[in-house]
Amino acid sequence: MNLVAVTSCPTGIAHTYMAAEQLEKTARKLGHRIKVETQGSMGIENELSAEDIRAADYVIFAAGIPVRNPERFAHSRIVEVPVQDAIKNPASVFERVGK
Amino acid sequence: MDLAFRFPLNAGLHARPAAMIQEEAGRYKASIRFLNRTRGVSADARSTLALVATTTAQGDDCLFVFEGSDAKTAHGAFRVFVDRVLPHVDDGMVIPAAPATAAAVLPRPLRGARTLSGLAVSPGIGIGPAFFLEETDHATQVVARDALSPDEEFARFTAAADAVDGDIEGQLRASRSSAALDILRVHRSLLRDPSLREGVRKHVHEEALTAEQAVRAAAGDVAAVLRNSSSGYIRERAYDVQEIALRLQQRLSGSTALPGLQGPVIRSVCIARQLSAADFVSLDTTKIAAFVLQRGERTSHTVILSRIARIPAVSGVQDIERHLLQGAVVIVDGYRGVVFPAPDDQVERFYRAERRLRADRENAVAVAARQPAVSKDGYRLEVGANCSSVADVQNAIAHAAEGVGMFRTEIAFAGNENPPDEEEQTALYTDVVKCAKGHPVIFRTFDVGGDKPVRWLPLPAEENPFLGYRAVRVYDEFPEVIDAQLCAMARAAAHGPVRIMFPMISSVSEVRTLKDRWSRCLQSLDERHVRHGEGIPVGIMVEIPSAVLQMEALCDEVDFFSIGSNDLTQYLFAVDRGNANVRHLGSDFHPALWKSFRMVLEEAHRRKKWVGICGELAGSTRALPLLLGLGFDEISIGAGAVPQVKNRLRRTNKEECEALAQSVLEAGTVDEAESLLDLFSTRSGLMRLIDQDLVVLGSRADDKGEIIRELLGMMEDAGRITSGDAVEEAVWQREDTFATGMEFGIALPHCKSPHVLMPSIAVGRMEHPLAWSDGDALVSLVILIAIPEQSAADTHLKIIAALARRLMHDEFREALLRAQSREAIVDAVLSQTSVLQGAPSV
Repeated sequence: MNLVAVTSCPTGIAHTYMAAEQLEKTARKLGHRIKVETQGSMGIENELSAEDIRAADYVIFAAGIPVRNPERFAHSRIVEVPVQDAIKNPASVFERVGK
Repeated sequence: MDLAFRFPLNAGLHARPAAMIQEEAGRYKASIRFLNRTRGVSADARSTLALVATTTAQGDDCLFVFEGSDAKTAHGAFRVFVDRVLPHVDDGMVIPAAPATAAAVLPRPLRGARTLSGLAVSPGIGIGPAFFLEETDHATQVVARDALSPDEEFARFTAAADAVDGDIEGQLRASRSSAALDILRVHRSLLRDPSLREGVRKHVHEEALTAEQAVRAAAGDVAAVLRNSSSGYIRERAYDVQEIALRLQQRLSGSTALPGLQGPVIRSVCIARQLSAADFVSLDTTKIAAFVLQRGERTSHTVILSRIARIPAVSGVQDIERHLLQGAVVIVDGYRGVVFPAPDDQVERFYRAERRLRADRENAVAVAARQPAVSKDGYRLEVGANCSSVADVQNAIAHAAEGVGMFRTEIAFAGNENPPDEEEQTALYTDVVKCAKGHPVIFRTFDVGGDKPVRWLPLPAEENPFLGYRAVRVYDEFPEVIDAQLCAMARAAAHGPVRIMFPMISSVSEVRTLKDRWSRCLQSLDERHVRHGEGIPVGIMVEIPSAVLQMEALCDEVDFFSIGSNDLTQYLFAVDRGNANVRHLGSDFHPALWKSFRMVLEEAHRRKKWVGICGELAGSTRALPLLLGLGFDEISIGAGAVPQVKNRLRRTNKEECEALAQSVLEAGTVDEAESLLDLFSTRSGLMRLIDQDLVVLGSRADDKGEIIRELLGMMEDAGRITSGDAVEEAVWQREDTFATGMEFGIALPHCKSPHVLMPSIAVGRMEHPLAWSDGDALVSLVILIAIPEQSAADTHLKIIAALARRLMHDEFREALLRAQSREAIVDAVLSQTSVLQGAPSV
């Protein structure tokens, strides 16, 4: 699958990036393509373009706080998971996406 | 005749320097007035109280005015006093900083408990049964009776004053504590103060009061003046005046007992409305777990004594009799300014853990302080202290000084009527060596001038004492005195490492003459079969420019050099630093000064000789990179500054400093030099994200709260956060959102807080795994991250983000769990900067 994701968490220091790392790692293992935008203490990084979003089969929100600039995803299929799940059990997130 | 100067002491003109000025002024017949030009007030230099009442603060423009038969002599002496003695008066003293008010945020386990809040005036945790100290009530002492004639009443006062003076003398002789000595001396000077006596005389004559009433009135007048001061420190000296008044009244009433209190028999938390210094000194401090005081004092002698005795204390606690019960166990938190009158199990458990934690922290800080100061790239710079007394040496060793870089010998004997003989000097120098506990001591031979006619070295008054007959130049006229000194130093050297140093050297022939004298002294000791040290290094102070230019020849003659930067600056730029009109011409950062230093260092190091530096510049943190860069072997500074300077050194890189020194030496002006310095400081002052002092391996914390507090304690000690409690609350608030435990036995508590000064990471590896949150695995590695409120995207945040990502990989986690040293953990955390493209190493 072609996937994009947005990660964030309350203080934006650690979990944002841990979730991103987990999603990237697991996607690679499962043979998916994924681009992850992080919204953390350093601001928005690896920002998803309109093109990225249009080309994606699903959008994963692994966010502990509301995602910024959510209008971009108006026409996407969004799967929302708690950011802790992305970290602790990333495989389950992809299972949910498949369904 | 005038003497202008800028007041140097941080704490202002308080009782101690005022008493010293009074003592000095008392030696002369001339009238000596002290003027504070900044504030437009003046005082008789013979009155401690009047001096203190001027509320002179650091930096004030001051003036001594001398008039009378020996005005010139007095002027000369005061010049030396102002230049050499006054700046060091508070060297050993720690003025308590404005203490924290009762903690705004208490740790969660303590909330809900009944507390009394006050001022945290002496740190520590005290647990024990409450014991109310009996007090002497000032008001009831004055017995109403008819006054005798004014002359008779005044005579009664004088007799009582003499008696109390004698008591204080006795206490001075008996006391071992240098802090108590200070206080007693201040009391004695207050007692002898003309303002007080004049006040009593006036009240006795003009109002026909009894001596007791007059004492109370006069003391009240003086206290009122002090209480009007804008300085909190001086306001509290009013209590000292009350204490003296009380002692006088007790004497007048016929009591000959020394002030004293009945203390507790078992170790207790002592409670009182107020506590006088004299009372404190009479208590057995081993029986005191803590003090709770009603009077809201911050800098009283009692507080100072508590801090020195390391007894926790909280002051300003209201209604002590109503809230505290004799015998009930109370807990005193001297860190937070809180008292628990009825602690439950939870509070008690918290504090027993807290006490252990704080002890560990203080120990770690002390151990770290005692390490030699080695720069980041492995260069060792010795940090010694300048001392003038045995108490100074004790203080220096306590502050982790690595030796006595200069012991000023003339100060110890300044009060002598007769020249100190060999026995007297041997006793003192031996004491000094023993107190130094194996660290080297450099004794400087007498540095006395025609301007300060020390009674036992009668020298003519001079027009220009700084360019005159002083220090080594006078030794040939007083051979017995200097011979006695040299023999005494050699004898003291039998007890520990000693070096001797000659001041004010201007030529090689001078040194040769001195060395001859030195050999003759050693010979005489051998002939008398008196034990002395062997192979004692002989050095000189480099403070005269001609010596700088004769380094090659001087290296043939002596073993080491110590640059006296104060005098060298004056002689080099022909500037009197006491003269406000020209002071700026002798700047600490003039390239020419540093060129002279380099000349000394280059030649000395070429010949493998040691070079140190004493003088104000040595202790300047601003100058530190230059001192390091130029390659000094040692710096000798005030004891109190030693720990910070060592800390600074450990964070500095010598190679970078060498480059800095080179550019400063090439600078054309002071302004250029200072800009280069400031640029350097900003760049290199930034601390790394994590350092060894933020890592603990094998923590014995019992629960989540304890390890968090342990890690925050390390951050607080490293100066990275301002309030452990406030940051702790931020960490818990983040935990409330969702727990930060991860699958792999690692927890990542973190927060953003305005109490965090710089992004920081602390790591704790547990001795026993802890529960972190329900349902999660036990945690054996805790990584605590704290960042400031305003965090722009900066390198540190990038590193933290990269660290978070790395934690998702097995190999990295394994590396952290298996690391064998704190250094390895630091490297592991920082090394993954290679993950980032183009990120500079930190």
